[in-house]
Amino acid sequence: MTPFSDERGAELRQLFFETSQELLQALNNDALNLEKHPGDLETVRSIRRTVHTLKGDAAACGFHELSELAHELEDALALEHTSSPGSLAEIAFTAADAFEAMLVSYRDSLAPPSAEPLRKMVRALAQDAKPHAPTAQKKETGTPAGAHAAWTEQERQLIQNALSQGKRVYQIAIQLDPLCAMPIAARQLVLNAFSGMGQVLAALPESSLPQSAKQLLFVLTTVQSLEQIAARCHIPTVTASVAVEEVWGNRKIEGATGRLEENNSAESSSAHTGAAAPPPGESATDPKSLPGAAAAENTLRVDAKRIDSVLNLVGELIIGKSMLQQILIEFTRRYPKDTLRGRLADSLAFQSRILNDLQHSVMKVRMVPVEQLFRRFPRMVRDISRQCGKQAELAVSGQDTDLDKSLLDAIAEPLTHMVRNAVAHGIEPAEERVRLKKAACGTIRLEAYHEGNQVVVEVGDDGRGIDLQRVKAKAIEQQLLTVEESAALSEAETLDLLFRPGFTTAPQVNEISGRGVGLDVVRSVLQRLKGTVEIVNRAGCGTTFRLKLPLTLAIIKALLFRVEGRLYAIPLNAVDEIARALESDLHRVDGHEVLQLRGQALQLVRLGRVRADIAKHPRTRIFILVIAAGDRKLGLIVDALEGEEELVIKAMDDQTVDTDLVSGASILGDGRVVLILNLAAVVERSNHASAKASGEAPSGLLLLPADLAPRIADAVGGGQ
Amino acid sequence: MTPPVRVLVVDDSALMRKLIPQILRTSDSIEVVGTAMNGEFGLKKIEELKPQVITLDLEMPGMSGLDTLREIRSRHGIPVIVVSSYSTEGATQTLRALSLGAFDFVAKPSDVTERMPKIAEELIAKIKAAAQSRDIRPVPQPPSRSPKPFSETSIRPARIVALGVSTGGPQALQYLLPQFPADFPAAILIVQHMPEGFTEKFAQRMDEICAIRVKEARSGDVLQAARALVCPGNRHLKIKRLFRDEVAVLSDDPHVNGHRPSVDVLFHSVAQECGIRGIAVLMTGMGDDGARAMGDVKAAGGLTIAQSEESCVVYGMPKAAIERGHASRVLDLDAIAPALLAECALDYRHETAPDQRLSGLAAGNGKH
Repeated sequence: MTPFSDERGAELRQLFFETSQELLQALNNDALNLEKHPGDLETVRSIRRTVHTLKGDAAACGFHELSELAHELEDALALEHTSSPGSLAEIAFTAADAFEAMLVSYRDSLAPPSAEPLRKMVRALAQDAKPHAPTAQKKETGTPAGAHAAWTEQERQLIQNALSQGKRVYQIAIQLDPLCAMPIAARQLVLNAFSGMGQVLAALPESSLPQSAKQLLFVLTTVQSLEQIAARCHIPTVTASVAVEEVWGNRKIEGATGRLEENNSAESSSAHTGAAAPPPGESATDPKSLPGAAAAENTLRVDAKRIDSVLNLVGELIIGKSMLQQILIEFTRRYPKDTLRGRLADSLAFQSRILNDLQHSVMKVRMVPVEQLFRRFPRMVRDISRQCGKQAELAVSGQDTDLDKSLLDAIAEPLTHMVRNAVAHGIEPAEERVRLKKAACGTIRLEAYHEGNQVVVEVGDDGRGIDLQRVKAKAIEQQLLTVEESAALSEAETLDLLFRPGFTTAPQVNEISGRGVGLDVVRSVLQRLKGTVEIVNRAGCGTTFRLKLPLTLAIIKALLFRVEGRLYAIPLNAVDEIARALESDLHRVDGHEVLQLRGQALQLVRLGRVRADIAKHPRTRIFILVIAAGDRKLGLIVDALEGEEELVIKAMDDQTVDTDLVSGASILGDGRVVLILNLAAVVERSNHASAKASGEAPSGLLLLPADLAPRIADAVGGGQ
Repeated sequence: MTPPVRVLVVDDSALMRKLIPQILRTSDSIEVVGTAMNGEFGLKKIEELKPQVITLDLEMPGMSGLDTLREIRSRHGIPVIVVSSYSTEGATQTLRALSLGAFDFVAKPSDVTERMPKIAEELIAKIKAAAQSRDIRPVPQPPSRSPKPFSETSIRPARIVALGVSTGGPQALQYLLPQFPADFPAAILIVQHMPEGFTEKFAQRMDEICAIRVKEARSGDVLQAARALVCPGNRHLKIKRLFRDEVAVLSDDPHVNGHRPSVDVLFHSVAQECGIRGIAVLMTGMGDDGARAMGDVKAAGGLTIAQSEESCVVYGMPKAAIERGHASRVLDLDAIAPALLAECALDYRHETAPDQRLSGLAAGNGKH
């Protein structure tokens, strides 16, 4: 039999840490559920099952403290509870926290915390249930005075026999002197004292006397009197007090007690059987639990890094494919008559189709539903609202929306921050809400949906909204701007202040929010992800933070175009249409260039400079890429189109590209470098551009440093 | 070489779904063909994968483990090994599972890094045994009995029957014990290899379905006629003569033959304390626990019975005893209760004339 290697053990523990997170999540969810529907038996059962699984898993990994605590909780939960069903939810929450704390310690190889609050609650729970719990009524629970309960069967029989033979039987309780250091010797001394008097029928504790025992109990049959016995037992410095009591007429009591006990145990076993059997209506399957279970079935846990490496290889393959296609074009040019050409083209087409499927399959592997992130929030909203003394509920929608796993992980922190904010700052206290004729309980909204090639995640509240005047006042107070400047600020610009580092409107700093680390962090994370964050503010009615993220970071079908002699690309599915127009068709409105397109005014963004040759050839048509930007459209003026291509995006760090307008780069089959335009940033710039003085000549947005291309080529490994 | 035993693991814990196959992989003669996270999927996968043995967790969301077991037994008849962890509820469920026809159970693996070889040995052996087993009859649920009257003054047992049993034991005992009548004149002592915590429930369950009384042994329990004492898990059971009674004594002595409780310990003390009144019965089980001390019982003049190969789920312990020549009789499971009844009834009738009985036995046993 091969021993279990350390490596396998470590692997097992790693798996435990992962799966236990899911179990704790389930525990939290059930607790929330139970809080809403106190006394729901199915939820209590579900909690018990979760605790049971956690117990088994922890024991397998050798985490005994956790396993034992879970065991106690499980047993306590199995009992019937009539009183305070609400406290069960509280216990489940406490348990989730305690288990979590223990897990953290285990992970860091530290001794786990004692989790005393939970232990107390579990004990109270077990005690509370005792009267209803048949199995808990053990024989040991006999009263200390009624020593008969503790005697073994054989001792009871001996007492019985002595009594039935008409002998006098005494029970003697001896308190040992607290200073007596040797209870075992003391016991022997007392027994010696008895030896001349009669027969000792029973003794407690048994011969294996624990050092701590200070009380001895004997049953003696003797012809001597009560007083004589007491006198014999009084041994100076050994016994402190002696209580002798005749066991007479006890035949009845004894018998009755015995019968009662036996009946109890018989009853209890049958009662317990009844309780353990599933209720008739429930033996069938629970349909609710099925879809989730189906989704999780056949799940394989794979390190995200492994998928990334597969994806990278797929990326290389796609580059390889465009290289082959280049070669095919060259081949066709040189040998247009060669029969090999057709076969080469066919096999290339076949290969690219497979490659396409492969790429999509791999992409799908990386996508996970945002539910994985959202599910942590119900508990959080509950806890924060309690801490703040507010009432808030969480409404979640769009949990099924898929998002790249790495993106999901990256927005976890910002999202948490915004949900905290929403509860702590957004929602008004209940009294205030009632005064404003709102529902006393505020609503936090978490929503995810696809929009174009982006995923949008919204955090909204129906609270008081952001008070623009207060933001301005704070900004002035914090010397972020002057009074004069503040007067000129538009709403968008005022809200933009919130993203400034160190800015906070919270009147007091507390545990939950207002620590000065705020929305600036949110924005910087989003920028790193090539996404954006915007605020929709409705004074008095609430605030919504909208995070927009690219669907994925890896491979896109792109439209290639040229600006100022450089090659750029945007995702093809972002392009609504390609329009052509004369320079003279363009108008200026409010500092924007605008094109009348089928009766609609289309705002334009000029990516390059006005082409110098336009003046000479006024009839030259320029290209305009119409893209969807949220609920409106935007036209990008480009110099020339280059075609479509599948691009493997190589992420670039901020040192290589110090503008947020470019979100990545790629290499074409012929080795040329393409820059991928960050549409979200372009749209944002176009909004801000409105504030610029309108007199200036329209300047290009994409005037990047001349040395950028070689730098990027180095970074992405092009030209090799 | 025979093809490996195909096993399906049904457990709602992702950890166990990984760990149990890992444990089983240490054996070449077992192949885990699949895992399922709940009963519904388990049943589906049975259709697809046609496993020979199933390991089943009883605590699962959706369809309960017991319902799953019922389905498996009625639809497919595949042997099921219950993997259960001890809890008040869990032990009850596990024993219920056994009465529904589960082949056997193992405790959920714990402390795998340290205890791996032992865990693996038990699980693998039980799976192999299950794969070779013939169909197990589910024990019919008898109507729950009214509480048995508490006997104020116990009847001193005419004989002491010591039963040793391991793999396949719960099934065998569920079949055997209900056959003894309420006035069975002998006391029964049972050592069943079973983890701590399960024995109490097991005894309770047996008590429900038997005419004789069954309880988990406690130190100081008096041996009574028509009562069976089940040795608690992780203790040893011995008997001791005190005054005019025989009393059960539990001890925490070290493991014997890798077991606590050990059948050898019980048999040995029966031989010492009861002499010709002792009867040792060694039933289905892996290994050879009990085989050695069965010789002591025989040498002391007691009767020794080994269960026959055909009726054993695992023919290990009885075989070891028979090979050593310690078994006076080899009986099918069906024949054990009648034989014991006849033996004890005979004793009862002739209790006033022990010499007669002695001479009859001595001839058969070749006492040295």
